[in-house]
Amino acid sequence: MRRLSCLLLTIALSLPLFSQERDSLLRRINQIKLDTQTYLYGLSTVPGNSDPGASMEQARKELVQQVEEYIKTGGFDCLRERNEYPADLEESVCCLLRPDCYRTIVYIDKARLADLEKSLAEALNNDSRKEDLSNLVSGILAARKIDEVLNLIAASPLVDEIRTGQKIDNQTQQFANDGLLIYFNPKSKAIMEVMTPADESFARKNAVTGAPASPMRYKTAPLWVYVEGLKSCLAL
Amino acid sequence: MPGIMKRYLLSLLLIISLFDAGAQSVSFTVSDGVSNEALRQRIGQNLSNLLSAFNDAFNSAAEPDFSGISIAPDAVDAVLMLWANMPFRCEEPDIVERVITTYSGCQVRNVPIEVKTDSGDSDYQELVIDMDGGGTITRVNLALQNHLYRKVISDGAEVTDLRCRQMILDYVEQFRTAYNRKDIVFLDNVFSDDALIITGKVVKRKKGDRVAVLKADTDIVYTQYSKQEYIERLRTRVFPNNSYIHVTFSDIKVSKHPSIPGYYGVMLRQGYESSSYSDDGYLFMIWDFRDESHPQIHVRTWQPYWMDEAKTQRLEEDKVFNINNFTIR
Repeated sequence: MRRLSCLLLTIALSLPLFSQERDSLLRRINQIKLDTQTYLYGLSTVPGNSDPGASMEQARKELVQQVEEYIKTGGFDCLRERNEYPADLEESVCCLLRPDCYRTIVYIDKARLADLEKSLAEALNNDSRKEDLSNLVSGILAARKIDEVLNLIAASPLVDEIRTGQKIDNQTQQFANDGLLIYFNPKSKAIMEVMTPADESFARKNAVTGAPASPMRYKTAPLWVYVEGLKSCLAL
Repeated sequence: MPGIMKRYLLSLLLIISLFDAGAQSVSFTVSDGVSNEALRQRIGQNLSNLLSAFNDAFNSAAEPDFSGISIAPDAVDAVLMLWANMPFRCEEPDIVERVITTYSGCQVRNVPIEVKTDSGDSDYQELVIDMDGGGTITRVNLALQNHLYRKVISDGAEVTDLRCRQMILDYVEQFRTAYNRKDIVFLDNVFSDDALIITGKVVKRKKGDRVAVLKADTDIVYTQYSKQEYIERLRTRVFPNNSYIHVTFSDIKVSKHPSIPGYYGVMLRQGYESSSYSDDGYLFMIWDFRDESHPQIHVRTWQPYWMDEAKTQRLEEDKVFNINNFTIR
């Protein structure tokens, strides 16, 4: 009798706790369902004798469909092209219901999808800029005369500004740390050296003459072109 | 001392029963799917009233009172038939669901209910509630599980028209619920007069049978019924002799007839449980949706899922009937 009463007392005391936790989880699930502006979700309720993992799996399948539909209609080009469900963004709430069922909601914040799309777009853009830059520098290195270089630079969307000069001074030294500095032979107008200090792979390339590495060697009035606007690409 | 103990135990039982009593009123909130705010509110209020009425009726062991609820008379009759066979309640006090636009209006799915079985156990089910454009309830049926519904709705490879897929699922849910509410009129209407009805039964092969040596020691023997025989059997034997009938579906495949428009094959894994009998098998039907207002079933077959009593050997998938097994003239 004492054991039975202990058992009943334990049940009576634990019921409100269980009920509170269940209600709180259900409230959270309903909040997510209600906030359609913020979340996409998949929902599943399976009998308690099933594996709770099955409930999660079914909810996830529904969420995948919702995300695919949202991406398709929401202009998320990069996510659509990626063709891969961003499972690392999902969160879930699982609740044990009466009578003996698991309810699971798996959800994604739409803002996180938008952030992912933005970062994918930026990465794609950077890849494209990197390739353009590489092509531009290759073109410059392959060129022989200042006019060819100026034409290539003028045609490139990567260039913000071109400065030219007749002598090396402190200012060009500073430029050389920011962009692409090209030295020409003042008489033949041929490229003598290309300097891109921000990128090791392009740094101090001797295009024509195999001239010495230091720009100080050209202090005696070389012809130079400084191309601004490439730093961000070079630094990638 | 025993008297004190008895009072103590009774108090504890009372506390437990108070927690077990469950919520009476239900609040239904439409999360999405209705742009008109007034309609959204009306649907929410109407469904709150309906589910609260179910709870009141369940707790007082009476029929639901539909006064103040916008519901079509046919739907009331159907709910009362269902109620007579399986009363239920909605244990969750707050329900949030989206409204889905369908071929015939709109519906809400995933409405959780708790059904008390004869054995005293509770069974979790979900309702699908159909409404017309104004939010009046037109049908209340037991829903297919959400993942089965989504499986068909999202797969347009076989049946490309979404409207068709919705219609097929709608009739599958009506068909299923018709057994639960023992609705002989619905079943009589939905089977075509010349419907082919086939029921399979596992039989043991005799020893020495050459085929049995090569393969399994069981086989399926099929019995063919006419519509009249099948309906009569339901009317006079199955429905009256069972206090309840619960039909559930755990898998579904929908296929289109390869050449005849409007004909669809629907394969379901069906769990059948009644007060006197239970089984687990494949239900295959050929539905004719050429007249959308009056779809007909031309073929209904049932095959057992398990080929042996120990439930170790399943019917091979390629042996399950499909739409290509039948010639439609």
